[in-house]
Amino acid sequence: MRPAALAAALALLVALAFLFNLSAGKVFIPPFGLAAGSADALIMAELRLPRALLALGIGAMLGAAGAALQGWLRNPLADPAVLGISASAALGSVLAIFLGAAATPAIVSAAGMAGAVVAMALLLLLVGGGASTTMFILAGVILSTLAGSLMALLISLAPTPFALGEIVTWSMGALTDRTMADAARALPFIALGLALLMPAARALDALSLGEETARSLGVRIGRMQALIMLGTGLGVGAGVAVSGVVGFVGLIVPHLLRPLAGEQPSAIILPSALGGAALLLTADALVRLVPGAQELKLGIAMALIGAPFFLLLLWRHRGRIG
Amino acid sequence: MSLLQADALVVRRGGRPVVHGLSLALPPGEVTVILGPNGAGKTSLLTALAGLSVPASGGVTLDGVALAAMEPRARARRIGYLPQAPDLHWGLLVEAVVALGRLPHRGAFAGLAAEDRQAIATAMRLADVAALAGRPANQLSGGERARVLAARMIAGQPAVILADEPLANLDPRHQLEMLRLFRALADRGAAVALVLHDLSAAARIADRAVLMRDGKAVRQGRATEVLTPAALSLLFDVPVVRVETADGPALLPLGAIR
Repeated sequence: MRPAALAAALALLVALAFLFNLSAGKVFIPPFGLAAGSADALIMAELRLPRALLALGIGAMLGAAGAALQGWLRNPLADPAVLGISASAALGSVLAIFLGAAATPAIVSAAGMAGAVVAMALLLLLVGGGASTTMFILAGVILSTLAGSLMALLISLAPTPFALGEIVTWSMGALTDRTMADAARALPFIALGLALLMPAARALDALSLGEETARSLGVRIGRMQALIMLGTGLGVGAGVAVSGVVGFVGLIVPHLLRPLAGEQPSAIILPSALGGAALLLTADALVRLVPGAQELKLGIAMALIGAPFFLLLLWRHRGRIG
Repeated sequence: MSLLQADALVVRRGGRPVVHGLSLALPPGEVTVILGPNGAGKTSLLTALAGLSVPASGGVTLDGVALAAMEPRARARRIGYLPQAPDLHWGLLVEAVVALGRLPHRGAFAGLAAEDRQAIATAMRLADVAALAGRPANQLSGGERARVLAARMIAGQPAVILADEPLANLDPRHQLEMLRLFRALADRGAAVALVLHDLSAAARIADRAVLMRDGKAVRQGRATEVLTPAALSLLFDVPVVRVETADGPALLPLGAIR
């Protein structure tokens, strides 16, 4: 499909998903023509709009980060959650809360971004050593496990059991009851993260011929890695600090789009951002429609879809990954 | 006119010198063949000439300007490097792979200009891969793949061409075509350096030759004077026989097997 046509189609999908996200819920509210000051208008402005904006931004970031990481590592199984970046961001945020920053959300966000950037730096060290695909996935699993256990440790050490429940709920990943203030501290960094990934796209194309050829084509590998490290770290970290860990978006979306966009890394980043936004907007609307007293957590819903998808990919690539 | 020159070049790998005080010049319009046994340092020499590794001492200059001082993209516009068996990840289409050769000529977000398209079309014609344009490059045969990657390099229209064993994995027909391609590029004015293991191919294409052993150039100069059976026999430690043919000399490494 032509790149412009694909982008237009995906943008339309994002718009529809955004409207669906705004209207769907325990009560259906049409997104247009609400009387100012009515209860519906209040729900729309205070509850649904921040939530939809966050799903849009976080979905776009996760999709684009997945595509960029896959191009960088030349590994079809890369994803911010699979590689432990999301869990490291969550650990950073929990650490900040543990140290008493719960009342200052900006610090919690900054700590989340720092956690994600540190995880990216660890991956960068591994890449420098020429690690194989298997090694990355293992490193990601270990990083996730380590971050998860440290988070559990911090929670069990927490002085107030009240904070504990909050953190556990948050870390499962959800966009329930997020405010405009939450959106305001995540979205600028997500925009910055996306903006940092875009100039790395061409270098990723060259990297598909190997690092030596890429360098012979004038690519500055260090600059490209810094862009991906900061772009992914800031964007994913800022998102996780608000939503908790939502996995597999970056894994699923690039794979679904490759047959349409072609396999060139630069051709897949922007479509993956749009596709990620559409996916998360839709998933977040659907979890609200699932019957039950409590809302299904978005992070859990994505894992329920994503983990079997990961297994399917593993099965399809068996023999080719080592 | 471009001239790539190495001066008392020393390259270390893991603390060990793999190129040891080597000087050479690659004049435009000529094919220089680099020969030597495995582990002689040929690939290390080539990557240093391409500006991809930092010499421990000595240096490489292009028209008198040190490669180390050149901006990477500016260097990439002048020097084309074809590594031995490069990676090919993802199913990039052949034309997209060849278009990558234009990367150093394009702005960060600029599309392909008319000039870029022209260079890509010419490179694909020269390397005989125009018919493969719409195919995923990772599904090609070894010979097709080698030609596509050569086209990628040619598309950058480099003044200096460095190729590491470009005939490896090619059948005789494609070897001949690859040699013709490099000859044609030199005839258009490029300075070409090839690492080769096929002595006959070397003798037939070379204007100049460098014989390497243990990181040093043991002999270099006009190919007709350097590529003698006696010198090659000494270099590789096997008997070498020269046979005259209508298409030029054939140099055959021989020696009894039993």
